[in-house]
Amino acid sequence: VPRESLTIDDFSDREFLLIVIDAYDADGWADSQVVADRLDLVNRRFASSRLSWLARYGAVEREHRRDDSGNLRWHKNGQPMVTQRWRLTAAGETLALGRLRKGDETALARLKDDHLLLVTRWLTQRSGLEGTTAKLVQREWRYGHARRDGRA
Amino acid sequence: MTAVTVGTVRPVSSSDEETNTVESDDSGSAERLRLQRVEHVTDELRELLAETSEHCDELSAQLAEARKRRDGYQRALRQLTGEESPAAAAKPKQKPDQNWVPSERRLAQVWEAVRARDGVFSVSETAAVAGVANDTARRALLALRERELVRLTATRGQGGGQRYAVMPGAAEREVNGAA
Repeated sequence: VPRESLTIDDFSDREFLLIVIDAYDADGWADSQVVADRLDLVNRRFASSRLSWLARYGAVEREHRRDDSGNLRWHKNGQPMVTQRWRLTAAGETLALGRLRKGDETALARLKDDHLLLVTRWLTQRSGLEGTTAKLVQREWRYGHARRDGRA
Repeated sequence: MTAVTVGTVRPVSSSDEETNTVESDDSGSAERLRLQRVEHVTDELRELLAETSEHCDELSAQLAEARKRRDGYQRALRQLTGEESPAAAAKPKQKPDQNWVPSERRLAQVWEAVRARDGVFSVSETAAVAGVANDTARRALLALRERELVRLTATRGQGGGQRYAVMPGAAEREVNGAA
């Protein structure tokens, strides 16, 4: 049965971004229809909606439409014309493919419970700030807790 | 006494009366004899019934005693061998927990089977490689997904089943989260 929704509990941002990578064409862009088909969504707009939110958070970007000369095309209201193709930004690639450095991992693994509490406080303070990465951190946190609560 | 014939009434002769008297005496004694026999047989049957009932009671007591001894021996044997009692075995089994999660040992077994995979893999392929049941493999992959060791891909198998892939950079990690 095709999906009629696509929530963060269904697919984390990381999983979703990896699926976008899976859907890349030869030019390194993923058409939202291809993403929707791969996710068995009833309509491309469910994929486009998630992609739009991730674009706001800086994880993906949308392709701008260009003329034959390669110039950007613009709407009358001054907004650039866009296509239905998307790709990951550097921040998105870090979210999808990145990993902690070995030294960071080792240092975090050695943290004792009381220090873990302090680190968590520091992280929540930082992720409470405005900014695209902060929003992605909040979403990562939310998805992680959803999994542990058995909702994902 | 009169004998009825068709159309006339014939008087009963004296010889007929004699015969009837003798017959009457004979039938009376025969009836008494029959009653005596019935009484005799009834007495015998009552005795047999009493004896048999007594025998049944004895056998029942012996059976109860034998069952008691048997149950005692069975209990002792179960205590020594740890076998389940027939009553416990016959009890309707509880409905299995639908949300069970494979043990850490099983998760590690499944993870070892898939961690080196490059492409996508299905539940049944995982089950075959790891040597576990399909349901165990499916639940193990869900648990590994929660730990971000594997991810659900958008690729579906021929039967429409979901396919998984190892998370980028996760192959070096262990099931318990250790790197």
